[in-house]
Amino acid sequence: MDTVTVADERTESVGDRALVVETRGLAKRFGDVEAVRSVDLAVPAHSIFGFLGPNGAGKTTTLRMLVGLLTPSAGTGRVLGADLAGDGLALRRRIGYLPQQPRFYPDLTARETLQFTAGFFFRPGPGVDRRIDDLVELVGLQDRAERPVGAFSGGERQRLGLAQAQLHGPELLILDEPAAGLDPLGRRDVLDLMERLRDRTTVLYSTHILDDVQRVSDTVAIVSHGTMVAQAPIDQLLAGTEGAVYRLSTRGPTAAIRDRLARLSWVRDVQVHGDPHAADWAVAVDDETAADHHLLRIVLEDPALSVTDFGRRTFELEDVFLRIVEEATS
Amino acid sequence: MTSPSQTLDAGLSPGAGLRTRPDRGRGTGFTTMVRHEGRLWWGRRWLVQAVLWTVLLDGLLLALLWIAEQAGSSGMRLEQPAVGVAEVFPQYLGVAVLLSTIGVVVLSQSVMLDERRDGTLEWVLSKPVSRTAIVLAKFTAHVLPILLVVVVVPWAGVYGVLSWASGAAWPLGEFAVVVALVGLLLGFTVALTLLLGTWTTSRGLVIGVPIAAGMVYDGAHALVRDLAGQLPFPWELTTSATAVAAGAGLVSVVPVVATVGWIVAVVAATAWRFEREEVG
Repeated sequence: MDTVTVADERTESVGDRALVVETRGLAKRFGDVEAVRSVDLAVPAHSIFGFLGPNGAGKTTTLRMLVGLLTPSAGTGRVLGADLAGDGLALRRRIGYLPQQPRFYPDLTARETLQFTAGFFFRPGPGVDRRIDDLVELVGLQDRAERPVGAFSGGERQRLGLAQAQLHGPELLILDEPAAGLDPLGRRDVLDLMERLRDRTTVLYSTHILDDVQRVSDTVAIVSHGTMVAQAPIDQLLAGTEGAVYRLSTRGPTAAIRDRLARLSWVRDVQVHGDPHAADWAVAVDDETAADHHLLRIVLEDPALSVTDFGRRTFELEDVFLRIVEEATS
Repeated sequence: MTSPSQTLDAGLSPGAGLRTRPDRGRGTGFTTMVRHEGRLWWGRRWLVQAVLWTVLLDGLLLALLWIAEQAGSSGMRLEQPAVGVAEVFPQYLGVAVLLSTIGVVVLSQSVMLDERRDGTLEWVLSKPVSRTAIVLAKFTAHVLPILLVVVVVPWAGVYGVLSWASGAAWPLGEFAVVVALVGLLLGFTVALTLLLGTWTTSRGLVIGVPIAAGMVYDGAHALVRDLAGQLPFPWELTTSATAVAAGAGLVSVVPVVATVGWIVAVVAATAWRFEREEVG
């Protein structure tokens, strides 16, 4: 599968949507270790952008560079129009960040933690208190708000992390493994929250949980061994790059129709597996419009053949991910 | 997580009563940080520490005075107790400064180190806060309470003990100079400990180096006795304070001025190092 999108093509793929994050050849070296070799990101505004990769691929290091916690060893980048090498203070007013396994001051309560966070953005006042109340409720920590964070479970810390990240209404939310440590209900809540935030912010998040990415993301980037190996809208990624492929399941003799399909100008390849009682077809086409209009009709013209299933083949993100990472590794 | 996102939107609207903090360059975030660091002290902690150090330092002086009195009653200086106190006080100073140095290092060793080790720093630095402001806030917020509990409160007791033991009010001006010199040295120790907390994640080094530095200096100092109280190093202040306590007055202002300079330089070096801290 060839889903790798190089930088120039990628810029086209996001069309007219403004880029909130744009990096070129971003790299980070720690001594002899190349944590990130070359990452070219293009995150469109108001997208939910999934940043995927195996453990140690360089996701967290990349996100830390975008937040200004690490200085890139090479490459350039702009976040919300600001150069990564520029004024990090001004930039951090506009972004919200959830670290992987967030750590807070253990002796502060959840409410005090949010008050401390708010202190960097706002002067104390009733507006801030209301805002904190809303956030505590939003992340479901009403019952824990007055308890010291040191006694929180991983999931509760994660919820608090989400609250503090969006306290100031950031234009960009950078979330490092936001669903890590959450139970299935907590994960669902986080995904719902991300979807709700789409209208007013851009969410760039890393994760290992591919089901979550497939559910909420509209654009995905995959990084492997510190190098970005794919980036595309998720629909495009799941459709594959071998052209449109239609799948059929049939009962009855297949030879006549297979020969007829193979002669059509817009059909590139026909593969049939199975026997006359139950055959699975994979029909690769060059003209999707023609296939949509004619393919099923042609097959049904044979009265001896019945169709039990028909549709366009899509891939699960897990298949795509594994394939891309394995290709990159080899 | 249940609440409507519209509420959050409304919470950020101009009419929501949120007053944005202005950007203050390198001072951005100082107020928030100094308030947070300060709250670590101004609960019960300062009181507990003040009582602890008062008992320790005043108890030490009382013990030394008692030993001197016992020695006097066994035929050495029985009829001149005031002279005995005047001799004990300079000797007490050396031990008290060493104990206080250890205490200051223990109290301040975690100020920079813990956040670097436990991951809290990653979260804090993702906020609009200048790294210089963090260093200045931590120094300011910790040096004042530390000096209060290790110097001001216990040494108020020391003054009381000296006055009681000598049978008359101890010379206040002279005593104030001694306390100021000790406080200045310990202020430098706080700064040095913070600096080490940004350079290494080894707690042993952060605690050991400031204590060892003072001891090594005292050892090396014996080689240049002619310059006692005149060298431009913070640890020279112990010699200066001892001289003042012994009634010899301040030998030179060089160590005082130099220590102020050292504190500024060390805090600046801490900020410089911290600006280059890589989180991850």
